[in-house]
Amino acid sequence: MADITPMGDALTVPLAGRKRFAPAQSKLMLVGVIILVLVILMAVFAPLLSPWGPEEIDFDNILAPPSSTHLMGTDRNGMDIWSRIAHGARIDITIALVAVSIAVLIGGTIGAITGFIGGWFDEITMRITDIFQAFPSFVLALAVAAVLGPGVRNLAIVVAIVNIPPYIRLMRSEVIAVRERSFVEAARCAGLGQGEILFRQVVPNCLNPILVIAPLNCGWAILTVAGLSFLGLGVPVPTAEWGAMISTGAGDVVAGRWWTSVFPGVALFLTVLSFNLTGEGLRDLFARK
Amino acid sequence: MPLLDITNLEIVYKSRFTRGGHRALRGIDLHVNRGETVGVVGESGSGKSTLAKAALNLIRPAAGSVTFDGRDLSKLKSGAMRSLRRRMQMVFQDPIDSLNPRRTVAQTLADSLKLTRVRGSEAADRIDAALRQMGLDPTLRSRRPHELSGGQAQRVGLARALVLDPELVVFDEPTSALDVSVQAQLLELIRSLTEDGRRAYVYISHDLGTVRGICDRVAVMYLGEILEEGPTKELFSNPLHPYTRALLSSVHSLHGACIARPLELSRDLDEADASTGCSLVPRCPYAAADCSAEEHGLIDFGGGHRAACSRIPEIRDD
Amino acid sequence: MEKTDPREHMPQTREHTPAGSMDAAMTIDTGSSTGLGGHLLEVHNLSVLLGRPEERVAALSAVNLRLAPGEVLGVVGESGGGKSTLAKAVVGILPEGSLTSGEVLFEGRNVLTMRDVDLRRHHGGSVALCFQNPRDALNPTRRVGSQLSDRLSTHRGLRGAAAEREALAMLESVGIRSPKKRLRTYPHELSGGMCQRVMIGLSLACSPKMLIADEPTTGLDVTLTQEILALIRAAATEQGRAVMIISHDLAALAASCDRIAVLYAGQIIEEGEVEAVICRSAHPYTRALLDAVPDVSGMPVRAIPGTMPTLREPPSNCPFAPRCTMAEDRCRSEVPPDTAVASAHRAACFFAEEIEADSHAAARHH
Repeated sequence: MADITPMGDALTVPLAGRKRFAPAQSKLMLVGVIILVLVILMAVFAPLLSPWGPEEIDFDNILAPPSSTHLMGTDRNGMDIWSRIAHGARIDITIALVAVSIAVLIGGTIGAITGFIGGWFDEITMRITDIFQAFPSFVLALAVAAVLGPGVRNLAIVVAIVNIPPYIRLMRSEVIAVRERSFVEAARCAGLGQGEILFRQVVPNCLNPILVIAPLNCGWAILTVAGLSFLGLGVPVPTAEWGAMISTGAGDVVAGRWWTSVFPGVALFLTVLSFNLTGEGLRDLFARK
Repeated sequence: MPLLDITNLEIVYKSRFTRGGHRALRGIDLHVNRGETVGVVGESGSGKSTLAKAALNLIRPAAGSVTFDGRDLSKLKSGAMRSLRRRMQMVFQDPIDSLNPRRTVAQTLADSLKLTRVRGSEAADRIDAALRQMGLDPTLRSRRPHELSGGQAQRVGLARALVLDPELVVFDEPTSALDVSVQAQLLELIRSLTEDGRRAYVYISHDLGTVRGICDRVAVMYLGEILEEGPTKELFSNPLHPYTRALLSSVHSLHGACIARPLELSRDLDEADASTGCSLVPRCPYAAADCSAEEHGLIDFGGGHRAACSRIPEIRDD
Repeated sequence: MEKTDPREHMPQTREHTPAGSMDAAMTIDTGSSTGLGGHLLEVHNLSVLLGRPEERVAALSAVNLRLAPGEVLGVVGESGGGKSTLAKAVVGILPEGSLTSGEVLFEGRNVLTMRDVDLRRHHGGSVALCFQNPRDALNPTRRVGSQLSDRLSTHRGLRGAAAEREALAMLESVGIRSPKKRLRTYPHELSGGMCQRVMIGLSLACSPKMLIADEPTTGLDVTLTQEILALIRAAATEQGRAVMIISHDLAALAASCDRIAVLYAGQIIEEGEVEAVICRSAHPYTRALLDAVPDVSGMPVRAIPGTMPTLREPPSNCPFAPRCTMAEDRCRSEVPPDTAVASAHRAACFFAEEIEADSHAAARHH
């Protein structure tokens, strides 16, 4: 006999259990979402927002501090930093969103199948996943990037590959929990096939953790791209990308020309922060339900 | 020919603790005729939920067979099994858990209807009719499970089973998660369904009172075996097996009826109890040397009343 | 129902703050005191409003109860009827922000207005509460034996070997075989029935004057239910404690209690000796409830139409009226008085005496 407390028929929400979505938390999430939207808009409208081309050289103003012509100054190549930040957003955000989407799709699918089927297939899949996860993810990214070579497209592939294992695990554990529930048995009684049960009945109930982790993952993806580019394994010089900008500007900061690294650094920080706030806000939202 | 014929059914679950696995069902024989309502009572660990699932071929048997309308379910190909599913349905114990949280009532019922060729507006009509038949307002069709009360959710579960107009419905403790009032309302509904004799029902429960009120025949399960079965009235007024007697004597009637001569089992159930011979031996006040020696099946005492105890003739007047 | 200011019904409301975290099953042996000559517990006109100001629920309204040592009182009602709130009020663990009026007198002292210090001793030494879900009361990461010894040492000052002996004795007294083995098990290895026994043993080990068992047999098998109830009843008959059993299982209560109180929408609508309440019910709800419970004698179930209301404030009429077959205009506009139909048998209904006579006659035909 199951340990179930009998329920009355009234549709009352238990008073004690209702938590308010704390105003402070919702404000933070709002802040995160707003910043994210602004960054995305900046990326989308980069050409309109940039007075200079991202790789346009202003020979008269090499390493110029912020002024009315160059809002954020110029770097050692004479390229306008603000324009490069705006265009850099395109690369970073696009790679993050695309790569994480691919990772979610592939990882989620594998995780769902292996969690549902179990048996030796599950064992093998999980051992392979273990191997991948045994390496620190950035080290893995370095290795894959070294193999694939530089380039925006390859960067996306690197980030996607490195992020697949966590989604396999996440989806798998959710599926394992959900597959035992009686509505799944009811679906079998209704003659639904295994595939249909898995993807149309079970998986829709397993998405919450993924929806929370994915934004956080995007933030990390951007850092990976920035890190790889900083090391010279990412975008080819002189493409505008925040990590690469920080890298090229690092030497100049020492000489007192702070604007070359600080502005892209702030952009990076704000964007990753906004992803994190959004992800955590989603988690609180789901917890409230 | 019975509609559902379970013969010598054995189901074994893999278990880390027991070598050879945990024998949830150890040789069950049960048949259900068309239009009949058969009750299966048992306490926790008796295997009654496993029996429910096995009856619908949701679990593969280790031995024995489940035959529906003459066809052995475990030997069917998936396509053939699928078309049989329309004729046999189940109502589950936890009403809210048995509904997909992300699907509306209408979608859940439509999922069931996929077993038929009914689609579109005809499906919508059948769904509405099924909801109405269960005493629900059809406007509930767009609600999700968390927007339903326990009683409403269970009615949806019933509607889902009946929308296909099956020939057999298995109830797996359908009211144990519900409060007294709600339970009564649902039981009235179920009783009216079982009374019209159109379908066969198997009603699985731990509650003797409910089973007494609804079922034509009752089987009493203990640790994976059926220890006694017979027509309801006969079994309740004249229980033969010591276990049945113990069960009945530990329940009290609110209407003053004296149910059974008092009989107490010597201690609580322990998982290690299942053994060869009669599994009640460790707890039975009448256990004798022969009882653990061999397995014996159900012994016929006339009138469809059978019990698996060889000492009954000696002890029945105790 | 007309909306009136709840404070009109509750002349002295007080805000309730809990005494901080406590373990309700722990008790302190304050020595045997005779307390009041007569009733250990007296609840006078208790009303409790729960929840946030915008969403108040009248969990209890004008409840009167008495319980003497050695007596077993059953409190029956459906989910949402106020049973748990009553238990919490008696133990003194109402949630923060509850509004109460009336008194809960334990040995003459009002639990609702006790100071924290006294309240903690009250939880410990006077009243022990067995929770609804016994498994939740035990720490899953520690062995049963160490938890038991812990509690025994905290509340009875026993340590080491003495504590272990006491723990063994306690397990045996609640019918657990091979207690030595069980001491070394973890809670998840115990069956539901055994957990419940351990819970009861824990509560009793520290000699409380009163034991409250909240749904002690929900989820337990039928054969086990009988044994657990016998165990609880023995605490009253053999050990002389006052026992309150809260349950929705009317049949179980009928078998194990001396008196029964029926709760509906936060009010006690009938109270009396078990035999009187069951065989000579004086309230339409009690009658309806008896017919709605599936009975092993085979009587068909008759459901009560409608659902129990959740009241926002103490009612100004009979809360059962909307579902009652006998309701008249009076029932919808006035609160029915507590009518005594026999000594120690009362019901809150305008027609109590007629109904009691009718039940009596019907019972004779069985």
